Amino acid sequence: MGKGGGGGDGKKRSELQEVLERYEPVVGVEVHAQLLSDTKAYCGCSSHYNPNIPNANICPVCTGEPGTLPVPNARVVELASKAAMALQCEIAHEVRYDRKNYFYPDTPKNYQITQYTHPLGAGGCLELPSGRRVSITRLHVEEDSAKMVHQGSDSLAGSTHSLVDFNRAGIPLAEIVSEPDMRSGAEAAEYGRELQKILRYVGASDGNMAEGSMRLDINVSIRPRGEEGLRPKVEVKNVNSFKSVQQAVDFEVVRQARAYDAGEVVRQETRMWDEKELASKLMRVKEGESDYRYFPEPDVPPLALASSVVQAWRATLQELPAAKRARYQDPAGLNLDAETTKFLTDDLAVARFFEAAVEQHGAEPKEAAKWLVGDIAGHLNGNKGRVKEFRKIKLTPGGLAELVDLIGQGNITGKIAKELLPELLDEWEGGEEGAVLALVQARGLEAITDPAVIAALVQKVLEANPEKVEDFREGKTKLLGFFVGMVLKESGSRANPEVVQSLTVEALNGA
Amino acid sequence: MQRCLSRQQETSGLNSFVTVLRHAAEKEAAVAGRHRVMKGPLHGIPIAVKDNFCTAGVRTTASSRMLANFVPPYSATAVSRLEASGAIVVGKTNMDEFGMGSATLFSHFGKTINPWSQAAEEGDKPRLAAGGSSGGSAVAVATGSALAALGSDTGGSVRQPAAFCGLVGLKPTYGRVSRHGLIAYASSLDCPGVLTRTVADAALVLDVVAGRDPLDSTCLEQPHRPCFDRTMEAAASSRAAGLAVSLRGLKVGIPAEFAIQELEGSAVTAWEEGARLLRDAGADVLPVSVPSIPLALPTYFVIACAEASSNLARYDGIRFGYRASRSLRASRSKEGIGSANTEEDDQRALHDFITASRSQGFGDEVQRRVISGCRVLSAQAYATYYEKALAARLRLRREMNTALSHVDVLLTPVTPTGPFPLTTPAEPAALMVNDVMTVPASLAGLPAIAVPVDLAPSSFVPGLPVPVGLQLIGRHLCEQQLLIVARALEVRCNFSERIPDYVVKATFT
Repeated sequence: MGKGGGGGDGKKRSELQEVLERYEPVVGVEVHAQLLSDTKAYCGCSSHYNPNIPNANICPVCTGEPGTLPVPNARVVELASKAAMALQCEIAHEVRYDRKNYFYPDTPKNYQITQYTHPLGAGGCLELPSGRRVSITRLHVEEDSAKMVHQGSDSLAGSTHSLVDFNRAGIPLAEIVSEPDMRSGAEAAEYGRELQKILRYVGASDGNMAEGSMRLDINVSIRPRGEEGLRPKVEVKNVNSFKSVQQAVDFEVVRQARAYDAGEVVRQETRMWDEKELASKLMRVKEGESDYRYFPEPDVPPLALASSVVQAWRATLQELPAAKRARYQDPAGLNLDAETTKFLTDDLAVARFFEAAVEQHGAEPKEAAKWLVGDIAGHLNGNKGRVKEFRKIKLTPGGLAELVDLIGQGNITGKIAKELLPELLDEWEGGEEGAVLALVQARGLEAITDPAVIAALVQKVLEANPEKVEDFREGKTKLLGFFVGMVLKESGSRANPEVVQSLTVEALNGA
Repeated sequence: MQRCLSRQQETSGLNSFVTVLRHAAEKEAAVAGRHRVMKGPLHGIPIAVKDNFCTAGVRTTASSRMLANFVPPYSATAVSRLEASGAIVVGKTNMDEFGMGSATLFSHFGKTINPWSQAAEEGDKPRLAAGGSSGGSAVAVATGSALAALGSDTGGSVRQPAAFCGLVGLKPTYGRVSRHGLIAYASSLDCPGVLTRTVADAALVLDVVAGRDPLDSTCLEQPHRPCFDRTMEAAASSRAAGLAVSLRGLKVGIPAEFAIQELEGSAVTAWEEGARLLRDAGADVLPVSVPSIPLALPTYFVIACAEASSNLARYDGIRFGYRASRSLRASRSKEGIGSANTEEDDQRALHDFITASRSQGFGDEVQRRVISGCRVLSAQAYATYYEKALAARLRLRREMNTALSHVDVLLTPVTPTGPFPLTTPAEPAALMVNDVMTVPASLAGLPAIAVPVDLAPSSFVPGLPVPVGLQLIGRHLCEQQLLIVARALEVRCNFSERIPDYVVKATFT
């Protein structure tokens, strides 16, 4: 089996296209998302740890010292239940835990407390923006393992020795398993993005791929188009971005197709995604199912989930991304375009800002959206680090509403607004209503609409450029733009552009 | 305190302690003596603690080579509560490794000998087992090296050694006493218990250690109803009325299924005598039935081994405990450090390392139970063993509770035979039969107590009198009532006055 692709991007794509004509990819995704509880799943240690200070947030429970017992954290069940509800899962009436037994140095007790026979949520589904419906098999809670740091190599293989950092041990996770319902790398990535959004919307997880608080394993198999059954699947781990999800699926599709084309079999195996080489590499071959000797966790009694409690949690659920998108695009409502909607709803903080500006402060929706998508996003340096940057801005929803309103009323020009924006975003200390206008007035930046004042400016520009006036009058009408620009500049961008336009035309055509 | 410490020294030949805290205990006793204000009901009382309860800063071995040098960073809740009430821990007692055994035979630190074996100097007579797994705790109390001892009871590990050594052994309701800091054997069965000379002492210690604990989520929320005052009160008021303890209105059940073939004649006699004494005290004694009793022993072993296989998985030589001399690094270098190693090579090296540490660190009996446990949890055997055991346990629990809805307590023998010689070849299956009377209460999570009632000639050593105990099993969380009945039995048997001098006074060095 050689590496998939080989040549440039273009070659890879065309090869993928060729393969896709004959084979259908079948993709399922397993997600591990760290739940946002303040303490760990089974002890009182803080779950906010500094990755640079190993073994700082640990106690005898985290390291599995003899005699220690797990004490379940109720908040974990709440957060996981909310995520399960958002994924339309049935919620279990009783929370039960099981032990999964296996020996590995990152698992302090050499078993993991998880849920096997009775997952917290089951039978859900997630509809992707592209329309694909992905069934959710189950959502269960479990504890994270410690982190192994291998010295002298990236993995256990080839390292001289390995260190174990228990900060992560016992951090609560939700494992979310999908059915193999996706049919391309793009869909798998889309699923990951949408799931991330949902987890963030319900506050269950920050879903940060780069920091490992959301981790994806993908299961990929292919089958000849028209074939019904499933062929052996390959699990790909270490997929650390949504871009990698798509790349890894596409790579596997081509790799497996080549194997089938060559008359080989595709083994059920686990592979690692290598981000640098853009290739999956063999980790281990699965010889049948591992026997984890699951059994009910005797240290944690089953916990009944009263329907009143579940109802109360359900009542706190926010509008989910799909519903929000539909509402933003509703022609009878906000009527925003798809791209604007996507930008506003991708991050709940942005959506909340937008909604506050529109609903509480009466901003004109399209204009407010335009500012958010355009200049504000531009100022925050596009998409890079947007989430964090956005939370830091000083401009309030009320401030944005006032700004939009001042432009709409002609009180300031768009140009002035753009010039003021960086200050409003980075330094502004305003807040109360009228603060933007007060700032504008204090700086003397109100729009000039008085025709007499503008006419005087026009006159001044014309007098300063007699030759160009001649040229215009001899037919070089393109010079109108030059004169308008000069007048605006003369006004310090404060003159109303429409008035300037009409008065300039008037003056040029007049005497 | 001095008396206890010298008794400990005089009887060191019985090997009841793994670690003696002589200096610490003397110092604490001196401090306690100076204090005018009592710290609590156990102020200054010397107590022995089974070596599977974690004690901060004091080596806690569970009598295993695996933990021979393990010093826990914290104390078990039961130990902390004893200390907070003024008790002074005189040492950590020997036990069957991780609680797995019924004779304190399977210990990395050697066997513990029953003081009822007569003086050890009479070398030709076989020495008797102290029982187990809390054998060290039993011997510590029986010899007067401590006034009470903490034990743990998974399938009878407190009650059986108590019976073998002529003591009171109390296993409370599962969840009545926190397991936090008790090194786990079988989580759903493990129960901290108390070994004392008298029922009242057991009640007093129980009152100190019982009650909810936020560090153990299987620990029950219900507040503990104090037992000591009620036990003494019942005795006092009855005595005033001219009786030892009146049990008028109380119903005692005799479960027919406990009358098994292996039951010795002296045990049958003691059982009948016990029933008569309780009837004399005013109780109604009636037959009851618990049909699933024959299933109890196999059920217990399947569940206990299954849980043990998982609980003991953490001993891999990586974070704490015994580490095989062939280090992981050595295993790796053998394969050759460097990029030539595949993930699978390294997995194998890791596996070899863990296997070596566990094979050397655990004794045979532990390995037997861990392997059995892994087997019954394996995908192929789960349904035929583990699942069936869970179902049988549920059935047994229902039957026990049904029986206890008709009567207040059950009266049974504690063991089919008296203490057996330590020379008995350690045939694992034969030893397990010892637990047949005690595992039902463990599986059902019910409180049970062993009370010494009589002396009878040993069936193993001709002419040697050995203690015989009876077991009372009470309703869920009804320790108060259980102890009142136990006290009634105790008063009428007057066992403590019949203990031969050589048991309490002899030296065994």
